[in-house]
Amino acid sequence: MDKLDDREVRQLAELAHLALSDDERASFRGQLEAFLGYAERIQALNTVGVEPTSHALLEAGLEGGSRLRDDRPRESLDRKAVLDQAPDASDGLFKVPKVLP
Amino acid sequence: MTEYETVIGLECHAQLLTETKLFCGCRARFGAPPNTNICPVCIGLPGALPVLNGRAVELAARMAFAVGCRVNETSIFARKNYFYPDLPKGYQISQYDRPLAEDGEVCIRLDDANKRIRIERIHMEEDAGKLLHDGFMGSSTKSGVDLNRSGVPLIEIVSHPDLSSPEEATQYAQAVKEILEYTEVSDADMEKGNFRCDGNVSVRPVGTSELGTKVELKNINSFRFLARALAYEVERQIAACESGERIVQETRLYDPDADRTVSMRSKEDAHDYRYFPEPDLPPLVLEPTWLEEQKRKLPELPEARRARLQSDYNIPAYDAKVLTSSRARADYFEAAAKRSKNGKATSNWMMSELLRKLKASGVAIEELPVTPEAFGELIELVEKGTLSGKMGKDVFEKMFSSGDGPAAIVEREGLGQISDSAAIEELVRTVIANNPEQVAELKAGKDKVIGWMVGQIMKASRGQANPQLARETLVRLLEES
Repeated sequence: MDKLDDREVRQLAELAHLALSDDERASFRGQLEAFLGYAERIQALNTVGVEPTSHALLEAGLEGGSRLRDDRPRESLDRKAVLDQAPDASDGLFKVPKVLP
Repeated sequence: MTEYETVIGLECHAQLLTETKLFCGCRARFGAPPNTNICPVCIGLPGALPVLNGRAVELAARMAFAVGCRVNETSIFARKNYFYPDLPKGYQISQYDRPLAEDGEVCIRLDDANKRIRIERIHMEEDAGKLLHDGFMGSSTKSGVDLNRSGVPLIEIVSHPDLSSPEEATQYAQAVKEILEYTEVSDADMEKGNFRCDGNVSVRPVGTSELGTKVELKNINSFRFLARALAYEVERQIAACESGERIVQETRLYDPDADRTVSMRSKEDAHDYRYFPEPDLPPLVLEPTWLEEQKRKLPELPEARRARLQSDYNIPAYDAKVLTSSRARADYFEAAAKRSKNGKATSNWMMSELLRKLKASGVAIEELPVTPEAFGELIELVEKGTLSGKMGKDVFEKMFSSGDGPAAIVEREGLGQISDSAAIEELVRTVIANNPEQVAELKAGKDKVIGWMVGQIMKASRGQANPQLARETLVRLLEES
């Protein structure tokens, strides 16, 4: 009946770089199972003949081709303004803890 | 002893030749100061929305058609999730289960035959940023991140595992690069990282059909390294099989300094990318008429052009290969040959003088001060006999340094081969009159002196006399006297 076991929740947390306590894992496991149960209910619906509405643009009937952007450059952000908001930056670069090359 | 065969598949990444990035209007070109081409979309600020670059779609579709792929009318962008400091959003927008194009092929030329390498798929994706590990204060504890590259448009070209040796793999990668350059889809400049390859390698005993455990080799950025990395990996795997070791499915990096591959991560703790459809982008829907038009606009491809040059201009296969190694070179040749009206001579001049000059000067053919028309005109002058071969080469040097046309140089320098028989006769008479001793020797039967006499005539004419005519005139006048 269990849709997710603790090992899977642990793995998901690892992939998302989240450090969860035992209690948190149990709690999130319940919530995730509720999501999956909801998805299961939706998947059980008969959608034969129903147009997909996964994107607003498709809904609006944008048929025969996607809306694309012209390849024209636009002004980029001011570097200083961006780097000033970074936790660590110098020499025009964002600085992060050493990553092995 | 067991014989092994090698099975290789390549994934080639090429940067598309657009002005701007894949999902925003930041400039995509290489070489800007770090972090100057960035915006909320490409540095992953919350709320920013991607909008697909139409030009990137056009270039990706062009490459797909160039290698005979079917371009899907609907393809879907997906998020590939992983954490790395060069990936600000925490995911890369790529394509997964519904790529842009599928099922193509690239032909490679082996010693005795052609071999078709099947292309499994071509999909579009954005590049990540760039990490810098040294060259700044504190680099022992910190890495630098430059996000100019983040969001730059790439295509990934995935081959089937049809390659049976490192040499075939290198040939294939070169063929792909050539097509990218020819169709102007990418400059495929490996030094700038605009073309790079990952290889999937496995070995199996000859005669078996099951694939061995594959190892992935990452981020190889030169053909030399590609061949060496694959060769090392094949040997390592065969040695492992021989000693009864199990080959682990893993990703390995090639270390060019040590000329070996080292394990980066094994598949057991490999990334689970948790792909899912990108909710910020609608499916990419391409109209059939638009697709037809892209197919129609495809330029002549290197293979076809090679064959055509060989037959249209009557040049050897080797020349055709060298002349078509880039589109600019082939265009130059055709324009010059049209002017000179002599394909073979134009090919010879290009293969010797022109390419040597380009190599020696480091000038690219696109920047050459000698236009193909001027080059063709020079060849015509030599072929007509107005200039000797030697003089032609001198004039070419002067064209290269001054940028002037051959006619202007011939005129200015008073060059031009003397083929006027009266003028030659006058020169010959002077030389005969000035060298009575040698004339006597000649008459006594010392035929060797004739070469020396012709030399004197050439000298008196400052190299401009037609040597053939000079010799004939000399012989005639000596007989008459």
